Amino acid sequence: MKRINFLTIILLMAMPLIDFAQSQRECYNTVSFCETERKAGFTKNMQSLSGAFAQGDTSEVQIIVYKNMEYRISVCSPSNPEFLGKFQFKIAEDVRKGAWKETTIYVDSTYEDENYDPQTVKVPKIQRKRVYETTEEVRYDNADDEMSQDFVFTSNKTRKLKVKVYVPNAEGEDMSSGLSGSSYACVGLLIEHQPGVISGFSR
Amino acid sequence: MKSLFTNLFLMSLAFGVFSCSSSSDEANSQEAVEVVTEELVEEATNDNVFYQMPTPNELFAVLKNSDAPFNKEILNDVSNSGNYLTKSSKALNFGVFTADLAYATSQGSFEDAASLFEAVKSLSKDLEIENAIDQIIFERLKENLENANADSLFYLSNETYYSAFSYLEENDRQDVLAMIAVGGWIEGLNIILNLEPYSEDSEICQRIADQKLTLENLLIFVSDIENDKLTDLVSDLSVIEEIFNQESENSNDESSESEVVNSTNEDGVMVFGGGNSVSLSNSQFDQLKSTVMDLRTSIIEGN
Repeated sequence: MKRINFLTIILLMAMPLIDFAQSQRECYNTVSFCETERKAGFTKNMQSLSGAFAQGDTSEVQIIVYKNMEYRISVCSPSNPEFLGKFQFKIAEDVRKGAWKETTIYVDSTYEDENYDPQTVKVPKIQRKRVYETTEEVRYDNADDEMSQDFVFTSNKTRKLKVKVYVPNAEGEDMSSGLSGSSYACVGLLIEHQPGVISGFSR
Repeated sequence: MKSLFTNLFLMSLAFGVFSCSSSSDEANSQEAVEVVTEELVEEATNDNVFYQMPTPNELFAVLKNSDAPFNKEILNDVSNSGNYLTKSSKALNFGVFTADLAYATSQGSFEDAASLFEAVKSLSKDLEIENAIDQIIFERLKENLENANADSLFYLSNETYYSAFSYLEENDRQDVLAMIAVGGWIEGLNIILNLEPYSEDSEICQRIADQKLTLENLLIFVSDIENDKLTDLVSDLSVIEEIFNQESENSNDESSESEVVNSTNEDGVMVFGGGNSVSLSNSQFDQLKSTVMDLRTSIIEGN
């Protein structure tokens, strides 16, 4: 009996992992169900991602966007149509900034006193140091754009961006157990690209 | 996935560096600078982070605005496609040939695209991913080759790469996936390194410098997979990363950074501006050209 109980506990503990693995397998091709903008000239970008995203959780996808290429980012979840319009996504970038930092140090200074004896005192000296810090800058947040589920942008230089997707909780779901099959949603983060317009005339 | 990279670097400042982007050779400060400390914020470990990288097609899109002539000599010889005996050499060279196909289609070289397409098809069969690449894609590729439709071909070569990746992901064949990605990345970089001599402000030179960013994501992805061949490749790629990183030591000047600015272009599309730039010196270009060529030669020889 004890053995059965032990196995039950192990199984219960492992179930979220099994659930996640199964969900990942089921979700592998979700992005192919997202609505594309091929008619507008966009091509599916290989940096698109399909997966089992935990509801109520944020996943981050790091992508590279090339200079003068136009990108369209959209989110979809055919398995959970109730989420449409509720996905929150942000595009952020780590930016390294330099700043001059001034610190006061004390250095020895020697002088001769009235008896011509050398004396040493500490005098303040300002030392400037160049300091570099990396901070995250949010480039776009669809919460500021009426929760738009797609976004088109371009960049004036090649950069690494972080797309953060927040998957909402299904109403009435208890997320604490993690045992329910519905604790994961199949989500497709569709990224499309097309060469950017150089002159603005040919569009 | 994985957390990434180092937490703290100590670097010394260097001025007057020649680079692809604008160099800063003016005296920045009247005051002596004793030590420069670069602090990078520690990145939090997050299992929900996925690292992606673009296809060779995106890399070659830059060539549409360039005067660099098509260079057939830098492609892998399609007759080599039958020489690859191991899974790793087949996967790596599948990546090589798909990058070559992307290059040939981007340049409208239909004759080369046709033979490269056959090499890709042959290796996809060997790697048992033939079914992944929809027969319709193969038929459309063939049809567009016959009709000399460059734009459609470029689009379809991207679809080929995408389909292969999706299929391998679905079937949990991460090792093959990673080798294809490495082969494609190396070939893409080798091609753009051999298009023209070093030129400080050229678009191609800037695109080479940009590969520092794609390499970072590639290394994170590949080093996460347990495979002896991939371990060797990671070691080779790390040498290339070191060459790219030399730039960082030389460009701690203010020209490599600017305020983050978003604007809107005449079509109403948001443009991300400002932020950090990457650049490449003549010395780095030469080192990269030699190192990448060696690794690429090893790959196409099936070693």
